[in-house]
Amino acid sequence: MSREPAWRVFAAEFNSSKYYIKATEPKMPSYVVTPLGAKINRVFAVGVLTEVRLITEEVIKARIADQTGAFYILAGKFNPEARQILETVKVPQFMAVIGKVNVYNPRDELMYVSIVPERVKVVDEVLRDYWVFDTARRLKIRIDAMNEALKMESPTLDNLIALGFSKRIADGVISALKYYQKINVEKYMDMLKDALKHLLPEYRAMGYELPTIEEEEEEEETKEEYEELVLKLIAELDRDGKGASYEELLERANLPEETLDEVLLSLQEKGEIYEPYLGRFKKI
Amino acid sequence: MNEFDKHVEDIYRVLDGKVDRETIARELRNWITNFKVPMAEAKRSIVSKLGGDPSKLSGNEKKICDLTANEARVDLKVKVITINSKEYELEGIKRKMYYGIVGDETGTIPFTAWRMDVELRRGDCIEVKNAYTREWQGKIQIVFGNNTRISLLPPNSIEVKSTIKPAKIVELHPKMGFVEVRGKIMDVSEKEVMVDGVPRRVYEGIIGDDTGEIPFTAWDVEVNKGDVLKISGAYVRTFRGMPQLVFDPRTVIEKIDEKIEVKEIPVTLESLEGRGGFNVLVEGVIIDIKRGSGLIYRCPECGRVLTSTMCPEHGKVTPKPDLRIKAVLDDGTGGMVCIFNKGQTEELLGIDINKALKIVQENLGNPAVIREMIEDKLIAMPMRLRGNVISKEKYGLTMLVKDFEFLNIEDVAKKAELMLEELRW
Repeated sequence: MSREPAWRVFAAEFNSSKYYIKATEPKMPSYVVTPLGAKINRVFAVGVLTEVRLITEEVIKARIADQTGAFYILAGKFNPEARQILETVKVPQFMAVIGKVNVYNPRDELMYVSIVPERVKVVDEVLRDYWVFDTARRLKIRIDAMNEALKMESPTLDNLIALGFSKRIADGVISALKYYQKINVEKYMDMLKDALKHLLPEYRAMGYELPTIEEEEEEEETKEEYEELVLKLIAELDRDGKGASYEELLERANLPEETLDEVLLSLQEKGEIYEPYLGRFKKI
Repeated sequence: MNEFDKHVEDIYRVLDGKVDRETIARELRNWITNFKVPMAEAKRSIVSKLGGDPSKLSGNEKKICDLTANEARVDLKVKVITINSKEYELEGIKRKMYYGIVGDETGTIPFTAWRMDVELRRGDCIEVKNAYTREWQGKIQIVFGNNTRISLLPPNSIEVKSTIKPAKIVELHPKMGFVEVRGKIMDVSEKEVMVDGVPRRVYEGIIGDDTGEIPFTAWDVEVNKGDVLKISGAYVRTFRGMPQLVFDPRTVIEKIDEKIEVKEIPVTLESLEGRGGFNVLVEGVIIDIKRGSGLIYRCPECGRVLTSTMCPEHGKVTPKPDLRIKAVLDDGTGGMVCIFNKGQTEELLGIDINKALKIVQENLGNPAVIREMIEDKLIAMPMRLRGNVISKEKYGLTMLVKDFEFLNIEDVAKKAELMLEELRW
């Protein structure tokens, strides 16, 4: 039995995963497959810890951001060491995380990925930069493999291996091709270049801001559904007339904070809801 | 006549004597010393201002050894020493850019051409008008841009003084010009190819030094496996996306009596899966420290790790303290348990076993304190390890560490720039 490797992927690629291969037997690993074919059971990521939130007494949610987006970290009662570090550390902070993929899959085509930490550690900028380069280097290999596979009439594991790609890379690419209809390789190439530019002193001195990768197209369609859901929850959770609390909404809606914030903002702009007190939302 | 007077004379000539030299000199000095404008720019401006035609100025022609960074208008007569092309896409249209080395009697310089009036080949002598210079990785480079005009000169009209730079294999890059490499031929194969109807011998293989390895091609010069060579005047080109060292008949190759330890490229953990390896080099990040790391106790008879004073084989014993680390190294392709022995653990922690025992004592006898020290030191750290690797069905890969070092991760900016260059930014 070989150990599952800790994949180095950027947050944007990780978060755009929609394909989950669930273990069907005990001891069998589950995987998240990214559109570029990283078939991930374990992740190693380094970024900036930007937020730590106590969800319940036992669960901590944290965000570790790289230049492309943020990894959601979910530490529960089985990760006491990671939880203890996350509870005490101040943000922002350079942080490394090693952990297993976790999937929240409310509906078929809807999926949110997060990391359940095995280890977290406060690190420095030098290690972050090393990780960015290392991750970029590996992204390049997957871009190459995907490009080659897309050129083939019927891409197979053996054909990719024959071109010199490792079995794990080839296997991931073939898995991704089975699930994803359109794979926008160009988008990841831009992401790769942006990440590398961020490492150059001249870009850094200019305060070069890396553009964030846009979310997939489905977002527009689901946005309305989210708004409906949140609106319903606000009505339901507004028991004392002071409005529904953000925390309760977050828990019940089961959305990433970012998405919930967006939905709330959009609803406010549309004049559907207002915020009578900080962190309380009420229907108009 | 000094340099400054030459420029004054040049302007005087273009203006056809309409303005006297004194006025020109005063004007030029003002631009240069007070406004710090580059000479070529100042001359153009003065000529325009005084009603002349700046294109008649001759002073833009330069020799390679005089070039400095960020010169706006440069004219040169040079010979193409190496040329490579790359295709790229801009606004949906496929385009080609060229790069390589050009030289004149004063030296050589890398060039980049975004556009070419004439299809250039190696060995062509050309006149270049209106190029510019820039700095790349601390070195001056000449750029043929949109306003640059290139025309062919008669063959062999330019002599090139080749500057040959000693280089380590890890540094080799197509923009370096002629290099001198000392390395060992790791592998070589021979074949015959027809070039313009003439049969030529090509030797292809791998050459290595203490910084890395690179493929090479040698034209008409015989090289043998195991040779340690000093190669002067070879150049680097890109072949199938990888740098390659090329020696041609003008390259001076000399056998030298030198011992060269070729730096190995680390193997991937994935490639070791199911087979293990003898004395292999691997690179990765420590992602876990396993239980049983730190201060442990062993049966003095059989060495078995004990959690009490009872050995299942030898009964009641006085356990002997020991230090070890069972770390998991991961290189992104796979993971492996790596075992550091007592001496290595002491070196990593900077304490010996007696000190470790004392620390445990001070912490109410809890040996976890040593494991935590190890975790602090190693988790998330990039390391390079060497040792024998065994692969077992049930546990996966295990290495008995022979040598270890922390990776130097300081200089990623340079690597990032090289990679961006490969990706055409």
